[in-house]
Amino acid sequence: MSNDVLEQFLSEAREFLQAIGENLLALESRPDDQPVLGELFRHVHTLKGNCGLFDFPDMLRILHAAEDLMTDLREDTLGYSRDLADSLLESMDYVALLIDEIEQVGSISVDHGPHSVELARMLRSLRPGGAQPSRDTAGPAADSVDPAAVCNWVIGAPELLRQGWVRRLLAGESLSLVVYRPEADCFFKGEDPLHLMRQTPQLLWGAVQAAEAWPVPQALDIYRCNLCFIAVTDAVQGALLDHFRYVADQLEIAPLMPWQLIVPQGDPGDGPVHDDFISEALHQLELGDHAALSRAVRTMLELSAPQLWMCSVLRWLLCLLEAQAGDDALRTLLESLRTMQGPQMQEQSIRAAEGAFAEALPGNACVAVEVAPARQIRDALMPVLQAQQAVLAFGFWLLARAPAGGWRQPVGMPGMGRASGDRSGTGAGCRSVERFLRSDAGLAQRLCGTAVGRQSHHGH
Amino acid sequence: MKQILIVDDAATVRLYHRNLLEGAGYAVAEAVNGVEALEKAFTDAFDMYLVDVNMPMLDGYGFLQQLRAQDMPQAPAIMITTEAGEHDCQHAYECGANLYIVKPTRPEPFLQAVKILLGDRN
Repeated sequence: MSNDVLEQFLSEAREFLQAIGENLLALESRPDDQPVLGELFRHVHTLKGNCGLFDFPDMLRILHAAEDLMTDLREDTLGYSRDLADSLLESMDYVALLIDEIEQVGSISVDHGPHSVELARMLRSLRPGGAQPSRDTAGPAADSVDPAAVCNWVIGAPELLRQGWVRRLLAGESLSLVVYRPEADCFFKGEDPLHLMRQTPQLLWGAVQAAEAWPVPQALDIYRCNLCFIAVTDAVQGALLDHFRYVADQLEIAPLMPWQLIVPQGDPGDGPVHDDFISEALHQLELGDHAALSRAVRTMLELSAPQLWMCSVLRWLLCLLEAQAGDDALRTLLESLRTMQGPQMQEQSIRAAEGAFAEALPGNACVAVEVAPARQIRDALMPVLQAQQAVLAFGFWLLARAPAGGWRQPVGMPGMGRASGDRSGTGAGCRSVERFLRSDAGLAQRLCGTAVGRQSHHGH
Repeated sequence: MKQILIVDDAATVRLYHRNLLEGAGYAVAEAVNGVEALEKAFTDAFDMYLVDVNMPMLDGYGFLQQLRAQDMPQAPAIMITTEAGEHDCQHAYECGANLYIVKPTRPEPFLQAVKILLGDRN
């Protein structure tokens, strides 16, 4: 972009900002003045259009929200109010500040991101119906996601991956959860949410969910984005804010904590584990004999079918033992074996034992993009899957029939999770079915691609 | 040299497009609203119009409708707007636009579209 266009933009922007102020002043005495309302809309609209020629996403975000608000005002779905004028003036003051900054240093600092998101949210909250609930809590603030809700987002990640993350967290590293809900009409704005998400810095895992329940196929609008992307990354927050700067208002970022990841999953099986084992294990824990506890857990694992819920608990026990987590966490897990209820983990109970240096997992970068399977396919195949799982519950019988080398368990198969050392291959039958269930991940991506492709055709 | 009339109330956008078009070897004239654009269209022969939607006095739709109603040689028109809706696009074509482009325009596809409409491709 040549300098003369930027200079023109800056000087014209100041004119528009002044005109917007004058329009608002005029509306104070004549709130229904249609020509003034039309002018106000046009000024905000044109300023936004000019801004769109440059790479100033923080300014564009505010102006976009202001333009939407002015559309409501012009179309009479919203009445003029003092609140509205104050909010708009406050936002335009901030735009003026950004204009000054561009003039002085040639760009806008990324520090303005959070405040611009806040202003845009404030403007949108004045619209009829207020801010969309999903956006209302959105924002780049690190604490914007309910910590308990994080469990639900990451539960789809394979157990093996989550265990790796817990080891890293206990070793003092930081991981973040990113939840990105693109706007429904994002394909018409030249956005490519899937591409943006796949380019997430230092992506460790990602998944896609439907943002809302899918409608019946006849009512499905394939040009409307109904996706919610989830990612786990070890990038620092600044890098994430920069990467997602154009969609900061559609983003939630939260730091991951170990207790959010320790969610045993599996078949409940026949009920609680033998009391003998639990008492013995708790005793060993009291004695501080972690080696004996580890042996007992391994033996129990060998004796049990891997898809059982209790085996998942046992694998988590081993993981925490290896990561030298605190005894409280181990005790909580053992107690959960007795009650068969999910362990109620507390952050303080997991903290690594004093002086422990848990080993960080190297090269753990694994990306598994998952998509919720189309309901019909899943429903049709579920009985097959369940039947195969039932057959596989005869772990010993199959162990004897496994090839000498064993099959390698691919990463990315939740529900069939097993300890990393176990390659007996009893899950092979299920895997083909699961792979098929997952094959529509490609379909969703193609759908995404189609929509984006159509957008380019439409927009350029 | 082919001449293109840019009709837009935003000086920044006019300058941005002027730079692109002059860089590609076209002559450029400007109008800040639909009324001024009509006046210029009556006095000068343009090879193409680049029309914004939202403008004071007479908007882009109104300009195109009036232009197309005149008994005079017609030139292709590209409507450039931020309105990305299906309805807006449809309305633009009904009013006489030959192409509908959503702002902000990226230089390469924009120039390619201009050249195709002017028959200047290669």
